[in-house]
Amino acid sequence: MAQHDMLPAETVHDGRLGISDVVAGSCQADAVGPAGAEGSPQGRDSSPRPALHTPDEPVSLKGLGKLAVVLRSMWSQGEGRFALVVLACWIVVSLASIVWTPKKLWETDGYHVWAPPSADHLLGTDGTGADVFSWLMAGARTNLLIAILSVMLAGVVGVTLLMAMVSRSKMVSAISVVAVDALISIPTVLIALILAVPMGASIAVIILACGVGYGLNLARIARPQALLAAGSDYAVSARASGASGGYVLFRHVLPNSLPSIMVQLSLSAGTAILAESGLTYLGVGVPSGVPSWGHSLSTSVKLIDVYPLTVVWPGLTVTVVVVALNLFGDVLRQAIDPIVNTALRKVAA
Amino acid sequence: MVGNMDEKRTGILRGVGITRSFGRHSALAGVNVEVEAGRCLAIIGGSGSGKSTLVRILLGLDSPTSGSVDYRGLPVSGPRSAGYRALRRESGLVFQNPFASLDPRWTVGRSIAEPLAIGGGHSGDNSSDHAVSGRKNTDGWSARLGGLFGMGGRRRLSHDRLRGRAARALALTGLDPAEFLDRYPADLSGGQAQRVAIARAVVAEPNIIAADEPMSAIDVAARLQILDAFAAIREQRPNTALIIVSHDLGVVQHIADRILVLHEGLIEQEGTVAEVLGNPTSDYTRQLVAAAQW
Repeated sequence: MAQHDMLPAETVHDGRLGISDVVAGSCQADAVGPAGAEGSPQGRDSSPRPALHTPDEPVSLKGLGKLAVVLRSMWSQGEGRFALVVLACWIVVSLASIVWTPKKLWETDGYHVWAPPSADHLLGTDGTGADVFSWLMAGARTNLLIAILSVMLAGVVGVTLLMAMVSRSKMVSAISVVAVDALISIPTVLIALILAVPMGASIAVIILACGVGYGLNLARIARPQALLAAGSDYAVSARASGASGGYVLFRHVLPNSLPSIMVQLSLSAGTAILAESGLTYLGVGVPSGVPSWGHSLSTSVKLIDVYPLTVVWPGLTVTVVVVALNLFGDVLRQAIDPIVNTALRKVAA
Repeated sequence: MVGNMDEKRTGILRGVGITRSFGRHSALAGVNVEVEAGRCLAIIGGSGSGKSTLVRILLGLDSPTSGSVDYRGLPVSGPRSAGYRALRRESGLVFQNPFASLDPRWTVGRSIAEPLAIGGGHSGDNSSDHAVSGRKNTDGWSARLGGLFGMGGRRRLSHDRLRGRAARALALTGLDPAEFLDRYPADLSGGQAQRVAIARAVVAEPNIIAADEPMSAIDVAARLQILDAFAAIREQRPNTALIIVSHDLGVVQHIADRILVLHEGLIEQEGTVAEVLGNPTSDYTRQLVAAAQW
């Protein structure tokens, strides 16, 4: 609606034209009162406005427990419940495997190789007669370690590159954008193969390859959102108040890029587990003798036609955990975002 | 009435011969402007007239292609200049879109207190807040992180004092701090959000407040509240200079002392409100006056 429709009255005050009496009256300094607060029961009144310099009267914070609200928000969704349960089981099993497994890892039963599930061997045995369930339990902690360290490295690499890419220094941003675009074309597998030359097959190869590779992806994918935040009015406003570039990047740009970063990191955790399986199968991942889901897959996949069950268990475990990680990132993104999660906003209020 | 105060006025912010070009397009062509303490200058013009560019240059947020800006006699010529640093502490900025000017992930209270947290509190730097706290706020990782980025040298206000200052600034704009301080921008109406943005601009008690089209993105009813808020600021802080950028002469005429009409990067007319409204000297100004009457 045009303004003249809303402000029909034409009045003259001190030679001033236009706008209604109401507007004119509200602007006179001698008639100033607090504007009616929208949503405020008092509305417009004539009480004096508080001066800026009066003794401080701190307004106490109401409500705490944002973590509880985030967890509740995640739990309220089916995907969230699935992800939380699976990831909790993964962590518990990983920790438990340090002190206990149903059978000792190196205990083999030469009379029962490729045995089907039984009371003695819950998920059967492999070609050496070792207990598949025990190896999957022990493998859980290796994969958890790989996922956590890969995600941490990807986070450090990705966020560092992201900050450089949205830097106000044109030279820094241009160089980092070109570098990321060039390096992102190198497959993670190739990075791992190159690293394996001096390092040999090791968990470190997987972590380094995944961390660097996924960090590059993270920077590339989160850049548009970070650029929006860096160019936003609130970032300009902070700079206008004297904030340094680092302040704006870490207080405004990074938090507002978190939704993209969280999703990408959770995807990275899942992909790191898949990469572990693939790289171990290629012989550049987890070394022989170290339990991992990829190791369990690679030792049995050659006989999948004959003994499919030994492949099914680690394959199923990897699939369920990767799906849970992917869902976890998406649900977490919504739960920690006050724009989407109204419950989180109400906690503060 | 604020606009008719007869105290001795001094120009605190001056722009001389400001020219700003973007490629072949000239946004400003030799503009001279002076902002006086305690006065409200309205910069009026249509889209693309250069008014927002002029304000950004005056506040040191953009550099002129040629010309100069000085604040209290100090040159504003890049981030290292004395005038620029002084302006950061002593100016507040209000944007057109209130929601875009508030971090959506920050509460209202945190957004309002940000200039103080950064260390841009002008009057606050010498206020009792520091005398009372008497120490650097080194609580928490965020304060220590802040120190990494060149902000650790200032004495910082405690969390409670920041909230107290934010609450008073919010009350000045007519919003109830108890109700609004912990809200997020998503829970505000356009008018409320703009008043929060104004509270943010005034919290450090700046000498200059610049508002770039503060009423064009909100409904007509909320404009009254915004005008009320500006009038209250002028009442509480009579020495604060106000720069209001607008395309609508009808809205700003009631709060402005002087009007500067910009058209295609050139000053069409400058004078008191009565002079511009009563004796428009160019066709463009006459059109603006006619639009205001309509």
